[in-house]
Amino acid sequence: MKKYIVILCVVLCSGCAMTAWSPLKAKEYKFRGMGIKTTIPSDWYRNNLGGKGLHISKDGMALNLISINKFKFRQKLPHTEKKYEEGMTIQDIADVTIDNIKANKSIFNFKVNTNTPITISGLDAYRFEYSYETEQGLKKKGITCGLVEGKRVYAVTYEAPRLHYYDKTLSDFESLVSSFEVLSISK
Amino acid sequence: MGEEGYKIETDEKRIHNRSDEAADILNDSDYIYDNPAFESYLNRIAQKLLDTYPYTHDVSIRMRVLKDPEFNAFAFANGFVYFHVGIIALAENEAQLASIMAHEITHVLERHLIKKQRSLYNKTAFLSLFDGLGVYALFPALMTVSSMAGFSQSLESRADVGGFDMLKKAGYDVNQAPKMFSGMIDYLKGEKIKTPFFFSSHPKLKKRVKNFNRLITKNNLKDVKGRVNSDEFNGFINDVLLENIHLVLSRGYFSTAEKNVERYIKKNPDDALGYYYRGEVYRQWQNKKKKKRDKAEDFDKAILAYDQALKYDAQHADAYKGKARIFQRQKKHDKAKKLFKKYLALSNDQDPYIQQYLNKE
Repeated sequence: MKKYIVILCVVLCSGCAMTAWSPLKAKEYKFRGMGIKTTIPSDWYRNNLGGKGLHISKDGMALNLISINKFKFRQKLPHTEKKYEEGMTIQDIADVTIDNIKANKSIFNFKVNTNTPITISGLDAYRFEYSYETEQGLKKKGITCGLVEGKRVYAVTYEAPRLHYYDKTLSDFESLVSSFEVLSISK
Repeated sequence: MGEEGYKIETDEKRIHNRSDEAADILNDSDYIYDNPAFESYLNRIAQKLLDTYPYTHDVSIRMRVLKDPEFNAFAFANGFVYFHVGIIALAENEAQLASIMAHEITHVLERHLIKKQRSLYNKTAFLSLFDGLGVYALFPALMTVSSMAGFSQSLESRADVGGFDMLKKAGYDVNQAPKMFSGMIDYLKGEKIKTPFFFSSHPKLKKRVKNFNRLITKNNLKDVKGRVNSDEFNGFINDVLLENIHLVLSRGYFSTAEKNVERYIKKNPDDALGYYYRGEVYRQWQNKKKKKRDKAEDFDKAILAYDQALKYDAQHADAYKGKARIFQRQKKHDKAKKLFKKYLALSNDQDPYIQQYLNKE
């Protein structure tokens, strides 16, 4: 009996243990929980401990990170008290997204370098490029693209240190965005 | 007041070093409100207060301002005192500003940071005070070496007594101090936002009001009018209010934005800018958790405000843009496009969102 309990414990414990990173194949994925599909480029890893949203990286989250997040209208955003609301134009949505980053007290010298309307899978979307510095003085660049589908905002963000890493994986981000679609039945 | 003048001790030196590092990060960042004339004015107020301090000390007190809309002011052990734009925008005169300043300066001169650290058993206990402050990722680091999170009740009461003494000796109207703290309570009620900062805590502010009222009564100063110094203060407050309106709008503190805008308009009734910002507040104002807002009514108020701005300045490009954005949301596309064109002609802005909208059928 004691032997079976030990075996059961080992099985349960190994089942509970989650690795921080899972390799992703270069192919189209449907992330049903997120209600999206997109093609992941080669050699990217999914972070399993990143909380809500989908977070993938090639060389480690500090060096390159693509995050896909979904927000319901009126959902509390991490930094600003502003919210996405029904009836907002895509420029209004972009403005709230920018205000949310601006209100983040852990970054310095945040600047929006470009902010333009685009289309993603046929839907009106925004795209802005930005730069900031970390508390340690590391200069980073990023891009956020977002669209509204139903009563939700979907945002895809890419961030990497300005030197070397940003350009290195930028094309991977661009190809991911170009294949990005919201599934028709999203939760 | 306080203790005899002091020399910095070894463990205190470590806090000073950490303060230097934290101050360097802030001072080199775009959080600093770049207004040297205003900073110089603040330093002159500080000097008036310091001139009343009877003891020698090794700390150089310097005032700086941060572009942050929270109601906060804090001091490092090394003498840097930081005011958030949000707390300055709340003050109605120099005496009110001086009351916050005197409180913070007392924390520095009476060495409250080292007293706080020595009174805690170990570093873990010290750091655990700042758990659960997720969104304030930067500030917890600063809290460990600043007065930001506040001190024990006895040290805060000491800072009230020390601050009161400085204000009184410098000739300021001490009755302004409880007015400032009460004003902060009213603003905080308006926004219903809980922040971990000392000056943003209702119970602690109520205690400040109580302490100051007690000191005023004890010193028979209730009917004594001291120096308020509104004139020089008023020369600077317009810029501070405008900066804070930007910040609170971005943060979504609409009730505070409205109060700041109305105060600006009251001071500058012929300035189009005030009416433009009134329009921006109503255009952007969103529902709070339970309180439903009538968005159509907000849009009507915003359009009225933009029109008032255009009455005072017919070339106010941003007022045309604000109106156009409302008509765009209301799907009154002909009106919106006409106004956007007017905006583009006046501003030379090549806003790609507007360009795309104008090119749509």
